Amino acid sequence: MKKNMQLILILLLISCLAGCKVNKAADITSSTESNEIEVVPIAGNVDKSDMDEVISYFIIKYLGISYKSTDKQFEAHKIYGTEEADGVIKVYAFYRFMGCSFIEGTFKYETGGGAPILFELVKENDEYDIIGYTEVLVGGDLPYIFPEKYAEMVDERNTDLYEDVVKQAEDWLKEEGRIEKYSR
Amino acid sequence: MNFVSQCVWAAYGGWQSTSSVATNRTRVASRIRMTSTWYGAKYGMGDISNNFAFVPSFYTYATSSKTVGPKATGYGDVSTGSFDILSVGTGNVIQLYNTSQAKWYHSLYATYKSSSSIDPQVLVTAHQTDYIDRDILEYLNNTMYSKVRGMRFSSASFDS
Repeated sequence: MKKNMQLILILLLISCLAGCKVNKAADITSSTESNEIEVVPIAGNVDKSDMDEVISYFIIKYLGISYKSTDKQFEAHKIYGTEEADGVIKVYAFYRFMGCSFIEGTFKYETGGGAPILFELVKENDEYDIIGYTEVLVGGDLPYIFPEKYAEMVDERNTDLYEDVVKQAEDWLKEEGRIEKYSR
Repeated sequence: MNFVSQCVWAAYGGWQSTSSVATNRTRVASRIRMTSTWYGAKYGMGDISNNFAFVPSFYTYATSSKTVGPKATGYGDVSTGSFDILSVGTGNVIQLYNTSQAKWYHSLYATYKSSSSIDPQVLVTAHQTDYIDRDILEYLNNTMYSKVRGMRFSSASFDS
């Protein structure tokens, strides 16, 4: 909880410096429904010309806030397809998020999830910004959010993405020189 | 919904954390801590009662007066915007009403509630889509769901 507050405060500070308004992740969805375009501020060393990198940043920094606070977070995603209309790029994707904490000598899976998700992006000066997202919180909602051709591609399990985040966690532990092992 | 019934079943002592998975599967098959009208099945598939599997049925069943079986008190049943998350407790079941489908159609299991009344947080766990400890606000702020209600469980009797 404390870490969540710290992260929110940092994001607020960044947004004030940049002259932008920070939305909590949940607010961004409603902003697109009211047709207001509010760009999600992106800080750090993100290559904004790389759509995948922008999406990864968003999953960790914005969607990640809606999960339990943990020591370290990982994400993986796959894009099924994109469609562009009126300057807005719709990205149909599936993401997996995993948060781990050091608990009793292990690096334990504490929180996570995986869902089909629709990102809405704009591209200006060869750089992407996210202006909204709609996550399929309930599996039955998929046909209301994804066109049929992308809905058919969705595999709810997406074990490859899970294996990906676990490998990231194991690699990160090695890089950090930690002796703890990942555990579910 | 089947998943949330499994959570409630586990909370009533159906699942024994000190026993092996095989032993617990036997408990499922033997319908321990289940009733003749609220029962699941091994691996979550097979003969599963409507009260165990369906969102509206589970609510009606759990909140009804009976001598054996899960016992719950309903609360909320209000718009998602006016739902007081302070009323949610760990172990409660939260149900969502889908506007376009005009039905109660999804259940969440409350797995965490912060002690802060200033900045309260409730985390839920759900199946399809699968989440572990996700902020309930993700659901309450989603316009696909117009109403929400909760179920608070209390001590109950079971035949086995």
